[in-house]
Amino acid sequence: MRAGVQRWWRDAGYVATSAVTAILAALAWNVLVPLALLLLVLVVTIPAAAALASAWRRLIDADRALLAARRGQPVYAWPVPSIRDLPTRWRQVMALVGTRRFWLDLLWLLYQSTVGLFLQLLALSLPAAAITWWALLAAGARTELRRLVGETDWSWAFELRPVVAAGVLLTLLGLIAVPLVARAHALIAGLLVVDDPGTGPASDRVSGGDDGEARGEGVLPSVGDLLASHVAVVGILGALCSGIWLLGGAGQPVWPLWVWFAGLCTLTIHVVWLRALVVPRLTLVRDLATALTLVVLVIWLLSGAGAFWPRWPIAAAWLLYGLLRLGPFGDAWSRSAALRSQVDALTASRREVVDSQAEELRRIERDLHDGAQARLVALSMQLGRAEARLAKADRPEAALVAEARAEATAAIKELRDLARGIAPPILQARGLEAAVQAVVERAGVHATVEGSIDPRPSATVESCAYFVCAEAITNVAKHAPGARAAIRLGRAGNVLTLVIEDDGPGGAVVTGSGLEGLRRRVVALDGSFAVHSAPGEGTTITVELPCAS
Amino acid sequence: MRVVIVEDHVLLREGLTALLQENDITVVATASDAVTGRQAVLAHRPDLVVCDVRLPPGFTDEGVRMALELREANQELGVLVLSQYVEPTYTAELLAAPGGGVGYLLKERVGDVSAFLDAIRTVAAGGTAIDRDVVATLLQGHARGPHSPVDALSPREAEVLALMAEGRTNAGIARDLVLSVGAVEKHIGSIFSKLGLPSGDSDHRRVLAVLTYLRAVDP
Repeated sequence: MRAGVQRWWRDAGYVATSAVTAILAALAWNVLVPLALLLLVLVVTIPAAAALASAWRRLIDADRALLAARRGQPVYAWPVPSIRDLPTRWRQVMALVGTRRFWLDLLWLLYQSTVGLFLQLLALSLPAAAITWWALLAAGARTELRRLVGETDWSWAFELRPVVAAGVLLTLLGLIAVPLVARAHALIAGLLVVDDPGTGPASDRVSGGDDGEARGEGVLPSVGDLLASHVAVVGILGALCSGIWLLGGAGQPVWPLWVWFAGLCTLTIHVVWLRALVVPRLTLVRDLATALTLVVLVIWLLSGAGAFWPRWPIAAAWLLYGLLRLGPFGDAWSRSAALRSQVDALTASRREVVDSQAEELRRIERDLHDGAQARLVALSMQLGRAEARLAKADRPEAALVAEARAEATAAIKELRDLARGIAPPILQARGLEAAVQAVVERAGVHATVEGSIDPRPSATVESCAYFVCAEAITNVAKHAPGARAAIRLGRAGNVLTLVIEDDGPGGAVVTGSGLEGLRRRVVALDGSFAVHSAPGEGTTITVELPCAS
Repeated sequence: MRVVIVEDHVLLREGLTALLQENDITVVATASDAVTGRQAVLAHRPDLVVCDVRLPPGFTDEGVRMALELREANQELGVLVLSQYVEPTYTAELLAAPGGGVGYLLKERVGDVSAFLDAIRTVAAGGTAIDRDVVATLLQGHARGPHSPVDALSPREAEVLALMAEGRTNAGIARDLVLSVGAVEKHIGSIFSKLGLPSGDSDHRRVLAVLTYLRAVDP
């Protein structure tokens, strides 16, 4: 009996444990599987989202870098030509058409509006598709699970397999494609936009109408030139089509209007695209709204000005702009715009300070030349005349006057050395190459001066470059006597490059030497300064100075 | 001798005029900038034009440019350029110009009246007067070259060379360095043989030869 009771309890215990396990299992199934799925979704979507963000950043960076390489003038300062300027503009446009740069730009525009746009969309849409897929799967699987657990049918798991596999594939594709596409985009941008050094800058120079304008233009066309080339293309295409239409009897419909319209649309996209890289986001939204308004209005007009349907897209666009402006974004966005304009103002004011300092130094040099130096020369001459007369009369005072004249001559020499250190006159008169050549001759260093800088940069940049070369040459004379040196000067677009190398003992240190002062000078102009001077390997100083002239 | 002076600083212009007049040199016109200077030279056709490197309106190198242009138009004209600074570049340009007398002197040299008058007469007569600082700069540039013949010059010979380039006569050089004229001639002969240049008569072309040599041979 006792044994029977015990066995009953034991059996009951087994049954109860089984039941609890079963209930727990069912519960766990219900809760854990969606949890696991959710985890899986998170594991794959977070990298996908990160990839999406990084792709976007890469694309923006590529274009920003490209614009930075091209920045000659602010986009928003592109001058609208007046009727009087038209002959000059026309000459500029014709000069543009003759350059290799122009055709590369066209190729870039073509690529950007077709393959480039597609590639970018692909790069952005693959991760987005993966995220959506998993989100749908998660949402779908939860309802599916509830239904299936009730019906105790297990086939769903097998049906789910291809769905999950597709999601994994999509995610993998997204993860691989994004960096690939971004890399390819950057590569093509590099090919089409950045000049290859082999062609040499002079062949691509865009020259303007007259000297004054030519001086202001760099090797690469500025953003304004890019737009000018685009305008030229639209104009030529439109004129061509209009001509064909006229020759063909000028019948209905007036189809060249649509060519003009398409050209203007691409131009609008171009302007908005360029502005997107430099203007605050809120302004960009306003630009887009304006562009949309114009485009739909023109489409409405061209399509016969029937019922006024454009009111809806126009209203929507401006409503969006209004909401963004009033809403929380408006504040944050305009704050970033304020910061940006503050940075611009600070950059400009620092530039002004540096410029005015350079101008002041030149003024001091000129004052010395026209004032003290000239007076001392006049004094020395009068003393000389007095000396000659006294000597003729055989008077002993002649020696005294000769001494006074020697003092005046010494003072002149001191002033001359001082003035040369402030602003060397040959730099202003003949430019950097001649001035550097003069320093080389004076220092008695075996150095070659190569390269040319055309057009001449601003006086501030020129004087900075001069003092870098002068100090470097003096250093060679001082620390590496007998060494051979090479000075290479060059200008590519808005960057002035100086390379000064010697085959001396090397081992120069920047801190606490004359090089530190040079570095500060260069950095004050937003330039870069690099010194390679391993012991036994000579010294190479490389300086890059931005010079938007 | 007839001279035109182009100098923007009034004290210097007046002083120079007085200095030349009292030494029997006729100053036919003076001007204070390159444009009127050019007109004055074309109108008066002097033997020599004395001008400043820096002239209005640009105050850069108008004087040198004016001198070169005038020289191109009239190869008989002597040009003496005065400067606050010594630039071998300008020396080279002036020496490269075809024709006769060329001078390039630091302004303070006018204080040494007899030497300055020497230079004026030399240039007007078709000779060369190059400031001793230019010569020193060129010599310095060469002295550092490996196996440069310039290294072989003794300090005394370098001094003689500098004065010679300045357009001084052998007698003038002898007076300045307190040497006999014979010793100066000996030094000059030695300079020419060390630099491997044909030693000629006492023509000022020899200065030209030396300077051209110094400019042309890479150190």
